[in-house]
Amino acid sequence: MEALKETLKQQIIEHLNLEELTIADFPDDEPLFGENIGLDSIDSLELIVLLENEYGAKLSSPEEGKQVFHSVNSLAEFIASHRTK
Amino acid sequence: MMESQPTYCRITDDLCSSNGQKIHNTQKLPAQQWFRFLFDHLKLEYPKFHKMDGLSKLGFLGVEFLKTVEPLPTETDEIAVVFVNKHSSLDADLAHQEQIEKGTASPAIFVYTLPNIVLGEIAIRNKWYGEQQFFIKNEWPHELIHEYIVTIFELNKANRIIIGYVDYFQEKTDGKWVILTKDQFKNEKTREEINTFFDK
Repeated sequence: MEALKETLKQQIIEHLNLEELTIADFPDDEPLFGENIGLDSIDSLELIVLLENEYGAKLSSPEEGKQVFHSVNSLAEFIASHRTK
Repeated sequence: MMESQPTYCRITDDLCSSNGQKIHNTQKLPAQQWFRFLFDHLKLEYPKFHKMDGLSKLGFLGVEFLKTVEPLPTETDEIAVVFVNKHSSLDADLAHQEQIEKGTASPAIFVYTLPNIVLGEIAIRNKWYGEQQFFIKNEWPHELIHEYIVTIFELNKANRIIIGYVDYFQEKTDGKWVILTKDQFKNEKTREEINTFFDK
């Protein structure tokens, strides 16, 4: 799971063009849409694309997104249980 | 009393100049790296810049360089912005098409598939709520821009206008900006200078 989280952080930085951030800026339990990381609504759409393309993991509903996209921890848990590749 | 002169800025593949201050792209950096170099030169903290497409980065940088010469207020509706270009958002459009052909569109690319998004980025950055317009033209539209400026000033829609030619397509960068006040616009010599600047 730790390796997945590290990979995921790197993918988020690359896919979302967060050039000023490094993996160290992503505490596992920090809210992704809070003040520190500061993702926006377009980023959430990019995260959906990232999950589908990289892991074959699809959200079942928009409501689920809020929970899944809360932090790196919640994203990694979702991927681990829903990935098809 | 000496009349104030408008502030100009020019950004090409090789050079960024703003009222005499010149920064050369001596390393021949590709466009995206050149934009990043100029962004770093300005010592700005604005993470959203890195998510923008080339056209928006160029427009954003032009206005930021104008501001280094002529500080401008934020949270105002008294600054109008009018941009013109030739290639519209074609660079982002093609990137979007490429993503679709790969199988999945990228929302972050898709949102830049309109040329006037650059105006939105500038408005958000500066909290400018005034008039904005984007024209797509093959040549600089002298009469159209003249009429636009006259209308804005006569209707008191703004006390300053940023006029720009902001074109970015397939690594080719062509940006010109000038900011002028109503008083500056009244000066015929200034108007001629502006015409010449955009004609070059």
